[in-house]
Parts: sequence; C-alpha cells; structure tokens
Amino acid sequence: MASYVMEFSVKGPIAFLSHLELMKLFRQAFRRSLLPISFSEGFNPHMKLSFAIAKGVGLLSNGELLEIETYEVINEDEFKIKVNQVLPIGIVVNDIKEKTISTKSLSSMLRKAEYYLEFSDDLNKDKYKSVIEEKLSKPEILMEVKTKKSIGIKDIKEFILNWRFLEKGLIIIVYAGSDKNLRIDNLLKYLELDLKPIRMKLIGENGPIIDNLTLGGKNEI
Amino acid sequence: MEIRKTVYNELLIEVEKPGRYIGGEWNSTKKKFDESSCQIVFCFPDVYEVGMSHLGLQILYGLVNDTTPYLMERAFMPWPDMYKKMEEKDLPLYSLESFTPLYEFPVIGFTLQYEMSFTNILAMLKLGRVPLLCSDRMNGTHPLVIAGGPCSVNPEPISDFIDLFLIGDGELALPQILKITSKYLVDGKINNRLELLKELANLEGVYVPAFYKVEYDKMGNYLGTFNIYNRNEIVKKTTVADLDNSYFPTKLVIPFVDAIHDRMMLEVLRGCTHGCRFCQAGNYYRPVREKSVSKLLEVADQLVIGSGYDDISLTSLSTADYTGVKELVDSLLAKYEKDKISISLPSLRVDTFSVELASQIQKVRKTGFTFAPEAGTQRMRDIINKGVTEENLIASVEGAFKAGWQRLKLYFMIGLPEETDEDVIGIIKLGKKVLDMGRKISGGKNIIVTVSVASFVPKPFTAFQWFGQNSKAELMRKQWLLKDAVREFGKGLKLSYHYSDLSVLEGMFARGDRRLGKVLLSLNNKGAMFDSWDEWFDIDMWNIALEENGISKELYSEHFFEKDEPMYWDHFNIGVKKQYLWNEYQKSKNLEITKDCRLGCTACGVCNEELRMDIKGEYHG
Repeated sequence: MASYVMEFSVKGPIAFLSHLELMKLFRQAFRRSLLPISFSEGFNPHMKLSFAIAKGVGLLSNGELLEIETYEVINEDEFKIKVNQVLPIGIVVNDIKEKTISTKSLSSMLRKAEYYLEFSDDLNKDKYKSVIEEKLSKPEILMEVKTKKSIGIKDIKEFILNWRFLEKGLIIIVYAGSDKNLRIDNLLKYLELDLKPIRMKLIGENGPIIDNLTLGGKNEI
Repeated sequence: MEIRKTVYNELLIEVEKPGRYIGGEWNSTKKKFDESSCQIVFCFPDVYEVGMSHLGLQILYGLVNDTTPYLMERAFMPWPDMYKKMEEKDLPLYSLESFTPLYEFPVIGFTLQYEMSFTNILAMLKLGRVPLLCSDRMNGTHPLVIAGGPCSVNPEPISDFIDLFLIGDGELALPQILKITSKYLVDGKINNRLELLKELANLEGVYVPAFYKVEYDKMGNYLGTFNIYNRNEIVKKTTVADLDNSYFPTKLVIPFVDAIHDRMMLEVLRGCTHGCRFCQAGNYYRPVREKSVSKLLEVADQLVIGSGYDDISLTSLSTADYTGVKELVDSLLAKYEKDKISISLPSLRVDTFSVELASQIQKVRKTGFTFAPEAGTQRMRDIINKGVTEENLIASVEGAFKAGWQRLKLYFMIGLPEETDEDVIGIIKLGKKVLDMGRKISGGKNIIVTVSVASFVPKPFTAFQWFGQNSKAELMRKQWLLKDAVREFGKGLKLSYHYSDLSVLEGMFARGDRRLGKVLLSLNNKGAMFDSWDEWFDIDMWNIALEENGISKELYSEHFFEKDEPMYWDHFNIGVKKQYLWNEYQKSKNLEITKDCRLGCTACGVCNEELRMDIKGEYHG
C-alpha cells in the first residue's frame, strides 16, 4: 500500500469542466492506466482518490493536487509517464511524490494558494499597476461575500497575505482551505480589471504541499 | 480558429455545463480535416448528454474514422442558453473536433431517433448557416444533408429538408455515400449536386425525396408517391447480414460531462423475435442477428482498456433473448470482478429467467427493477401480442422482491386498439397486486412501486399502423380513470404519465406526409426547439403554426386507414410484408396471439436467401 500526490496543470477549454467532471476524468484515466490503484472495501467500492481543493469552473492552474492510493509501490517517474499517456489534452501531471504522512489529507494540509493574475492588455500595464496598488493598499477591503445562507459585507484584507508585481502581471498569495478561504473570482470582482488568473501553487504550513509529504517536510530530505 | 477563440474566451463562462461544447474527449478523432478526402459531421438533434449516449453514433464514428479515408466529426444541439449566446455573437454551429462550421462540411448527417426532435434538426441547420430547404440548396455548393435512424421509415414529414435518407443499418451504406461524394468534391465543396444525388440514389437503402413526386386527388386525398427518376419505385432497407463480423467500435469517445448512459455499451444482438404489435423497432431491426460470445468477450476486453468505464451494459432490444447471455454474463463477472467492473442489463423480459440473471449481476446493490407488461389485462396483452401472462409477471415480481429489490417500475400504455375502461383500470389493479405482494414478502419494508403509463402512438410498419390514435380528450379521460383508480383502491402506488399534447404531435409526425414540412418551417421561424423536453415544449406555438398552415393534427393522428388505402410510407420496404402486418392487425381483433418467431417462422417476410435469422446458440425460451 502506498500513497502518491500528483501536481497537475489544467490548461485550455478543459479548464471549464466542473470539479465533479474533473474527478470522473481522473478516475477513468487511472483505470485506463492499468496501474495497481486501490479501492475501498465494502458493497460499493471506490477508488481511493482525493483532491486538495476544488478548482473553480474556467480557472487555469499549474498547481492542482490530488492524492491516489495504490496497492503496490510504483516508481514515480514511471507513474508520471503512464498517467500522462492516458490523460486528455489540457491536463498534464508535472510532478508525482510519494506521501508518507498518511494521517493528514491534502485538504487538511492546505493553508494558502498562490495565483498569477496576468494583465490582459500589456500596453496598459502601468495603469493596471497603479489601480491594483491603490486597491490592495487600502486599510480595509470590503466586499460582498455570498455564503450558503446569506450575502454579507466582509473585510477580506486579512485574507491577502502577500503580493508583488511581475513584468506582465501580479503574484498574489491568499488564504485557501477549509479554515480560511478567499475565492479568486471574488478578488477579481473587487479589482474590476481584466485579469486572467492562473493558480500556481497550493501551500501548506511549511511551504508548497508537494514538497512536504514526508514527516519533517523538505528539511528531512 | 476564430470560433474556437470566441467560444473559449467569451461563451463558456456564460453557459450551463460548458463541458458540452469543448470537444477534446478521450478517443475523439485526431484525424485532420484537410487530410481526409471527404468529411461528414454527425449531428445529434438533442443535447450533448443524450447524443453521447447513443450507440449508433459511436459505431458510425469509429467505422468512418478507423476504417475509411474519410473523416467524421460531431455536433449536438446546443442547450437554449448556448444557442442564444451563439446567435448574439453571430457564431455558427461548429463541430466539436475541428471547430469547423456546419456549412463547411460537404456532408451533414442527422439521426432520426424520435419525431419530436425534428424542430431541433431545423434549428441546427439554421445555426450552422445551411439553407433549410433542399430546394434552396440545389444551386451552389451547399452541404449534402442526409439522415438515418428509426424515424426514416416514414421520412416524409421532414423530407423538404433532407436531401437523402438512409433506410436500415447505417454501417453498409454510409462509407459508400462518402466514397461517391468524395468524387464530386472540388476544393472540398460539392460540385454537380444533381449528378451526385442521381448516383447516390442507386445505392440500396437510399431514398432521395427530390426524385419522388407525391400525388393527391382534387379533394386532397393521397394517391401515392411516385418515382420521377429512373430508379426503383420501392426503397429497400439495407441490413447487415453478419453482425458478428461487422465493425464494432472498441475505442468509445468518453464524454467529460455525464451522459445519460455513461458506460460501455456492448451490443449483443440486433432485432427482436417477439412480434409485439405496437413495436416499430421490433419490425425495423428484423431479422434477429446475434453476436458470438467469443467476439463479445474480445470486444469487452478492448473496451475496458480503452475507456476507463466501470460498467458494461449489454444492449439490445431484449438482452435476455440472447442465446449466449448466461455464458457471457458468467464470463464477464469472473473476468472483471477484481477490476470492480459491474454489468448491467437494460432491457429485460418479464420472466423469472430475467430476474435470476439480474440477481446474479446485482448481488449486493439492488437498485430499481423495471418490467414492461405494457397492458393491465390479459385480454389487452393478447391484443398487442405481448407474450406475458399474469403468472409470468407475478412470478417475476415475486422473484425480484425475494431477491431483495424494493423499488419496482412497471411500464404500461393506454390508448391501445380495442381498449375498454376495464383494461385501463386493470393497470392499477395489477400495480396494486404487485405492491401488496412486495409489502408481504418484505415484511412491511419500504416498497416503492411506480406505474408509468405512456400514451400509445401508432407507428408505420407495425400491425397497428392502420389504427387511429386516441384523441387528446380520450387520453386525458383515461389518465383521470387511472388517477381515480389509484385514489380508490391503489393507495401507495406511484403513478406517472406523459403530456397528451406531445403524444398527439408524435402521432401526427409518425404517420404524417410531406405537407407537414411547412409546419416545421413555421415552427423554426418562431424559434421552436427542444420540443421533447417538457420545459421547452410550447403547445400554443405549435397550435399557431398548425393553424397558419391549415393543418389539423387530429386528421393525421386520429386517422384510421382503410385496408387498401395508400399509406404515406408505402414506397419503403423494410422486409416485413404489409400483408403480414394486416393479418396481425386482424388477429389482434380476435385476441389471437402470434408466437415468437424463434419457435417457428411466422412468415413476416424479412428472411430470404441472403438474409436470415442468425442465432448463435440454443434458445432458452
């Protein structure tokens, strides 16, 4: 029995699948891979497959994470090649690592997410920069937030952890996960700019989750 | 490229289930548009999830793309939200593989699965910027619009819009049609259309409406449909004689979005021997041709590896009839248990054999069980020649309850020939008997019995093709009888039935003629689409369109044909003889039954020297 975490990217029209559709796509791909994937016991066996966090419809990503259990140990490079052979165009597994902290699920490890917000029109990048600078520097950032039950005004300032400009865009790190979570489309609505978001990395307590899957994290490796 | 960009950047974020419109599914073809010598777009006139459940699409898609130098791409009817957005953005309907607009394909192929999808065919052509009428496509290089499928046995109501119909199994004629068309292409466009149609009209199973003239007398009575080009008066259905060795796809296109039937489909046989008098498919797909267990196991293996699905469905009109069913099910179960692949049997008979089979494959999870007794009384079941007795049904139901099923669905019809109110009420009596038995066997557990009642629509090429459909008022009266009966003595039964307006329109098209084309045109102008979906069907729009064109739907649906009266589909020959059907109709009136033709030929006329029933094993009754 072994557990593996895959970091994968989602590019192009396939980004418009719902989270459930993406899960189904991976279940089917793992079946096609003919690799020794584990199933739950019981009347209604399920593949032991879980995701760190759902991806919004249309959101591009370089850093989605999923965890899959196998009943045999698989060489990580071979695993990557075989899975990529059975995935449709637009989805690529970039990294696979064995996970040995078995007590924690990916979703419970998740704390933050890093996004790259690309300026859609790079001629106006100075204007982009000044608007963003101004809006993100305000002492409080109030916006309408819809919850399951109601719509309320919330200050999301504390959800934004860090940000910096690159040549044609902005890198921003926000809270993500079950505890505190900022949806990137809410932030985009507040900024009121034409920005193309890409999720770059999912981050845990001690840095990128993919680098912290063994006890003690990357320091131990 | 522009279409793809606009769809991706502007439309997908705006619509429900964008996964319907992106293509790129696993196993979708990688063939290049420009590198194939003829291109066809297979159009399914319903939403993606319905179309992708259709086995015929998968068969023809694989056949053309894997075994011929031609290319087949796919298009589906966009859901109304997307349809509207595409109109607003001035985007044409495109194929999911290369995002090529419909009008750029030399051939566009529709499948005719149900009458109420006709309005979607016109809506797709319009959005694809293809002139709707054949006559408007005659000049210029417009695509050739072809169609096949069960409704093509009486294609007249939609023949103003379709250049060519293909009657019978599509596997044979479609590659030939593409081959001939490829010779007429200049820069990828059709050249010399009339000559092309003439050449295609010589193929078996091909009907080109432009070469047939419909005649009426001064009173408007139908006289017949006559050939005006040097060709046979009668169009004969094509049939694959050796189904076992005919092409079957092993690399199914796997939809991202959940399809209605989202599983491996393994066709075990084609056709049916039971001879139910209301059933069009049972006649259209005759004779029965089975596949061998060894071939099916081989195909199943490739399907499992190539798809990633975890469920194999053994499909046919009546899978329990398949002589190899036991062996096949045993082998599949043994082979795939470790892979957690389940097996499903979607079309079972009402008998204990079927229940045992179902118990075997659903050892643990007992989802719903469906039976189709079709009628509530023995008299009525004899009239329709549904070879099911009450003892069969009770024994089957008992078996299902004892095996642990708790949810049962029973299918019935109302509006059948010779039906009395007692027959209608008999449906509820039978349903109640089943419910009581379930409660007794389970010891008061939560038993759910649903009685689903459809309104009968007489179809061409059945024994009941002469019969006039019940009026809307009569169907509604019978639905009230059912409701009253449930209230009176059927407490606890769940009852469901359909809108009778839809049944009447279906009846009009099923036995309609070419004069209905103008109604479809009016409906298209009014924006009609998705009429088989209750939430989009608008009866007022239909009534206005009918009235504008001076058409009475009842004159079609309720019409009783005389024995010698010409029928709008007499110029088609599906093998089963008209005289046989007439005899069956007469026998029904005398409550005479006709046996399953596996037990002895009933001389329906379909078998001959080249084509006969092809059974691979011993019939288990």
